[in-house]
Amino acid sequence: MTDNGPCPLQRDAPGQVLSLWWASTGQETAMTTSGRTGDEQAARAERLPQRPVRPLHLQAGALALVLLGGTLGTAAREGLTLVVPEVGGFPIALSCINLVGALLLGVLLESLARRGPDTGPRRSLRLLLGTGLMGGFTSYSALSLATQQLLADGTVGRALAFALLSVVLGVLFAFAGVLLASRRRAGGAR
Amino acid sequence: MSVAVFILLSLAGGVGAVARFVLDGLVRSRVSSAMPWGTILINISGSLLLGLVTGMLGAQLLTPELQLVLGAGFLGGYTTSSTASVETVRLLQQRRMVLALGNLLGTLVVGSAAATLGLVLGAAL
Repeated sequence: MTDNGPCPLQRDAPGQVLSLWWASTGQETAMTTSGRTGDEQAARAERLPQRPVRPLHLQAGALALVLLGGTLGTAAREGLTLVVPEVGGFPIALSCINLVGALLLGVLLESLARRGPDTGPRRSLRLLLGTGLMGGFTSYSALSLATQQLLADGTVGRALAFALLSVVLGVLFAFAGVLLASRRRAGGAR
Repeated sequence: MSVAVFILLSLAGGVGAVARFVLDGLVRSRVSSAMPWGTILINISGSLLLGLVTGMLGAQLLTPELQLVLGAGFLGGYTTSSTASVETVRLLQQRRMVLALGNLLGTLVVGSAAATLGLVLGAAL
């Protein structure tokens, strides 16, 4: 990534693939392609209100993106969990996963929001990488169960420290991600 | 862990992520609130269910493989801590301090209690 604004080759190639996939589901992409004339756009805009729009969470293309991202994110989480051992009874792998995931999701959502409205390729990226990949990578249920198990071991102080540190650090990492994305965007755009 | 279990577990995580996406969308379309109720509901119900399948494993009602696919796979993909963290940041940015704190600590306390309840229920089945 450069600080000097958009790099067409890097950004457009995956974006086009996603928007083609998106278009194949019947979803209107708000990102206009260069070949479309103003008249065509006006005609499309006129047709739009008459067509009942299926909510995003019931569109096949959106579900497919979340499924793909969620599968890959879960595989990455399980892979790391298998490789990294627990340290002193604490699930270190889970903690690292949740913190890295919070940071990356903060970067992703803030970058996308600063690039424009949540439509077309931006929305596809949010569903694939955010809702799918980072959502599947991080886990809250495992955090609850780990806290419960530390409590059941009779180590109340350790359980509280682990649980509170996990959620507070998660917010700090997400906030750091948001800040990183807003700094980079502000620096690159001007 | 066998390759087959790993692949099944990962796919179950993808299905869990889809379930989260659909449920969150349904909640958002019905409840208009600054509080992210969809994610809260998902993380608490997922914690309850993970406790349940873990308790059932202890009571030998599930095989270890099935517990992994359902627990680490489906429920791991269904629940999410990254979204909960970012949503708390958004509440803080909007200066909704009480809601931010409630989201952070409420999910943690109720989620852990739900996991405990699930564990007890699963073992008692």
